[in-house]
Formats: sequence, structure tokens, C-alpha cells
Amino acid sequence: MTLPQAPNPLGTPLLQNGIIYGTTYGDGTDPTPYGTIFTYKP
Amino acid sequence: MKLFWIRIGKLGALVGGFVAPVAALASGLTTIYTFTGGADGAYPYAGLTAGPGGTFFGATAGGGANAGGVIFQLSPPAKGQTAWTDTPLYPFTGAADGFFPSGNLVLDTSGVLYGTTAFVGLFNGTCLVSGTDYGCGTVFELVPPAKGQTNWTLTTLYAFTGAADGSSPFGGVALGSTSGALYVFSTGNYTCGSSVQPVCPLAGGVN
Repeated sequence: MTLPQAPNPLGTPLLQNGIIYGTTYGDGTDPTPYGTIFTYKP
Repeated sequence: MKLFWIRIGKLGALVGGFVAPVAALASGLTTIYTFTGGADGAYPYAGLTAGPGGTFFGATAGGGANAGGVIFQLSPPAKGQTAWTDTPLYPFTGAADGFFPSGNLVLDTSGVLYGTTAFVGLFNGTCLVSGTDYGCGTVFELVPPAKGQTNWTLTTLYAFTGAADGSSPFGGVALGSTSGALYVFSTGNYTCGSSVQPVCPLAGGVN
């Protein structure tokens, strides 16, 4: 598990059981050129 | 990256603000999956859709076995494990089945997924990008495998023509709660004609 460094969280956030799930599109550059899925717990 | 909240306040006013700047957010953020750009796809333009058993469905706009984008399912870690598992369900070919699934998926009560691709479907010379025919996009359903099977089955429900029905439905679909109709925003100069019912632009916000 690493902290997200990817830009461009374009997708709609999904709140599920108190956790926000999201995606980052990625921008073709390191460290996550192809995008990610992340969680955020407020 | 920042996370913004918004709600309806007193007298109907919209109230909002940033949850926290990225430095403060970092403590609560966890990357649970990083796309490789291979068979798992690349560039998840859309958000996630909750599935059964703590899983999530989603789409990558590009990548996959055919480089046309992928519909995937993300499964939570097994007990005692930490890694989430990405399973590609359907790799788009970039032809009649579509290319660039960019919108959120919708899951109905029978386990069928619905979504859109922004491009391809019909190569009719109408939807051109820099002179190249990219097609005008599609609406699709993806049916889970029958018992004992493993392959999901994609059916194109509608292929936009770029005429009165519009083109390039980037935003996914809304599923009518009682009628089963699908509602889609397409771009371009469209009208909701009878020839494209029930797939048509959402009118008035009510199904």
C-alpha cells in the first residue's frame, strides 16, 4: 500500500460504508501513469 | 488532489468546501490498486460501482487485451491479506463493441452491468476525430457468466449515428427504477426521437 501520487481524480466518488472510493486517471507519467483506485476514510 | 464536499444548506443555498488540502488528506488516503496498462487496462476515467460481496465494478478507458478499454471487477483482500484483486471482465476490441468506456457503470438487480463507450460502434463516417472515423459511441450491457461458465457476454444495445441521436456518450447511463429504460446523455445536436427510444437524452430529470 502506498499513498496516491497520481493526478486527475476524474471519476465520481463512491461512498460505501463510511469510506470514499475513487479513481485517478493517471497522466502517462510516473509513478502511476495508468491510473489508480484509492480509498479515503474521513 | 483535493476532495470537496457540498450540501444543501438553509434556504436551499449550496454550501461547500475542501475537506482538506492534499497534505492533510494523505493520512487517510490509501491506493488499493495501481493499473499496469496491460490486460488490466489503463486510465480509469469513471468512478466505481458497488458490487456483491464488497467488490466494485469499473471501467478503464484504454488499455486491456485489445487496447480498447476494459470492464473490470475489483475484489477485496482475502482474510489475512492486504492486496485487492483486479479481474478484467471484458476487453473492448475498438470495433463494433465500442472503444473508450468512460462513464460509470450501472448494476441492475440481476447482476447485469450497463454502460457506454464514447467511440466506435458504427463506422459511418459521421464522427470524425482529425479526419479519422472513431464511430459515435455505444450503449452496452454486460451479462455475467452462466453457472459453470466464466465469460461475461457483452451486447451492444445501441450504436449512436451522430445524427439526431447525437454521439459520444461519455457519461454512462441511468437505469429507470421501474421501467427498466436506460437514459443517456449524448453530445452533439440531438433530439430524443422515437427511433432511439428508450435510449435517449434524459429530459426533465424524471423517468
